Amino acid sequence: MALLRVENLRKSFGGLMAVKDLSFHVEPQEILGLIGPNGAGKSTVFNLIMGILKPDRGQIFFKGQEITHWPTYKIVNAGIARVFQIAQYFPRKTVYENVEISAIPNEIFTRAIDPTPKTLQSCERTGLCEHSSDENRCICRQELPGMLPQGGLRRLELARAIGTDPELLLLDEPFAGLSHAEVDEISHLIASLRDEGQTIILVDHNMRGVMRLVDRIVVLCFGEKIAEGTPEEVARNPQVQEAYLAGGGF
Amino acid sequence: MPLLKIMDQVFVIAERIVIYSVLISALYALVALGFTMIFGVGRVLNLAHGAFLMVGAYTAWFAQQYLHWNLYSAFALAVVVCTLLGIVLYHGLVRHVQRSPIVTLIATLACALLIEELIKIFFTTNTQLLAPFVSGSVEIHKTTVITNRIIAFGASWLAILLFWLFVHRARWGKVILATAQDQEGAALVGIDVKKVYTLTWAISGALAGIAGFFFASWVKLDPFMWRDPLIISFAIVVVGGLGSLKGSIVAAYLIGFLEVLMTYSPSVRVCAADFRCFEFLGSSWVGVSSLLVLIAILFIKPEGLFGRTE
Repeated sequence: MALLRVENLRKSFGGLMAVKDLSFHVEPQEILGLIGPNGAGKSTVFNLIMGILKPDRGQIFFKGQEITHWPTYKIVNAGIARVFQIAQYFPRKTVYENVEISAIPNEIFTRAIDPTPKTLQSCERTGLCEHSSDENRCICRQELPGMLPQGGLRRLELARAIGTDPELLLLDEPFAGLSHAEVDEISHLIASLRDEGQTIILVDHNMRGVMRLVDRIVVLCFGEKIAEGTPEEVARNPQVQEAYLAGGGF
Repeated sequence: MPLLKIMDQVFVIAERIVIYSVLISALYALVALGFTMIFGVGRVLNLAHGAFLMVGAYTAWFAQQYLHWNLYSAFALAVVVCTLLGIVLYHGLVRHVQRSPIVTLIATLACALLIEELIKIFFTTNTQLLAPFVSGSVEIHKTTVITNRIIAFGASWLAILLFWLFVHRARWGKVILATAQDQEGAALVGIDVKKVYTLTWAISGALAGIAGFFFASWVKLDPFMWRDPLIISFAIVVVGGLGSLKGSIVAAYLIGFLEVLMTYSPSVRVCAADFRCFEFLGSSWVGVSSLLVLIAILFIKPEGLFGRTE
């Protein structure tokens, strides 16, 4: 059974059709690339899945259950997490506290579960540790997120997302604004998450950047799906090549 | 020696000003606490906050006077009623209009006026007195202090410290702080923002219940008593920096001190040719001082002493 299934999703803003009758699915442990030129509706799709925007029509199913009209927090607690293109951290909390808040169980009347191990694990998996004299122990960084470089902020976003224990991770342009070295670091990190069995949907406008990472690609153009398949199939698709040229080389 | 006598008098008055302002300021900080919390977390200026205090005060008075409850039970009832009132106001009204700050201001003000009218209907406009926890007074050096005010001071600080511990140490306190910083970000790590708001309104109500009880036993009860605490809260929160706990406490002490200072400052009487006289400074200017500080701060440092520019 597909982990996430999107059926006939439609969303328009005024006269602009941002997403037009889009259907796709993600299998467990798969990395799906969602690519398309700027303005193709990729981020809107993520906002619809996360319940930040409500679709005009269509349905979204997660693990067979319809989540189309659920509020964001409920979708997160069901097991979907999103990493933003622009880091959405809590500015006055340290890196540690930022990760910790995602690891805290969010029910008033639950047993108090210590969020520390999960916090440290998230920091460790995303390389946000500062190592003490004891080399094997990870201590999450204690500085404010504003002090981190772009790559560090992207790691923080990932750590916060992982802290919620997601079964499905949505990555929105994880390489945008990064230096070459940082792109390598983050793509290495995503590859290691994939190897651990994490299901991921990866949005990018640059097809080359995601080719090596993804199992399957869905190509969007003006809110419509124009192609779907393995990276090789999609690269050979004439319609995609045309959109490539028209879109100024995405 | 007349000079020594004058010096002695000055010291006695200075001591009195310090002691009285330390006591009243703690109560002011408690009065403003719930107000600053609601603003800090939900960006809502709850103009019904003063009315919350009034409901707490009248509940305790009613339980004492008509149900013949002892003071402790009456106090507990006031806190419970105000907690529920906070939750009801949030879910019944604020939640639906929160998106528009102007509508929220008008709606909460209307609530305060509604509560005033209801109290007029049920309890008339007569002034009532709330029995204190402890009667009598004590001497601190050369200053006589009403014992109940020391109790109010202690209770205020205890409530403030417990609140601080909750926000910074407890799991849900951390969740509240996160929501205060970024609501969308909070939802994206799985926090139910509505639940957080419900909790903050409940806590704000409870704090108003405690503050209302002590405020009433400090001054008196009447259907207009909600105005002073609201103005005090407003001034404290603006001066301290909207949403800052530390700022609120510092501002409470600043305003409390100025008020007491004004009470003891000699007044200057200026009379016009037609014998109409005006008084400057002195006890009639008590309420003016906090508002002047408020305006001054808005000019010099609009984000408040400990505020953040957003």
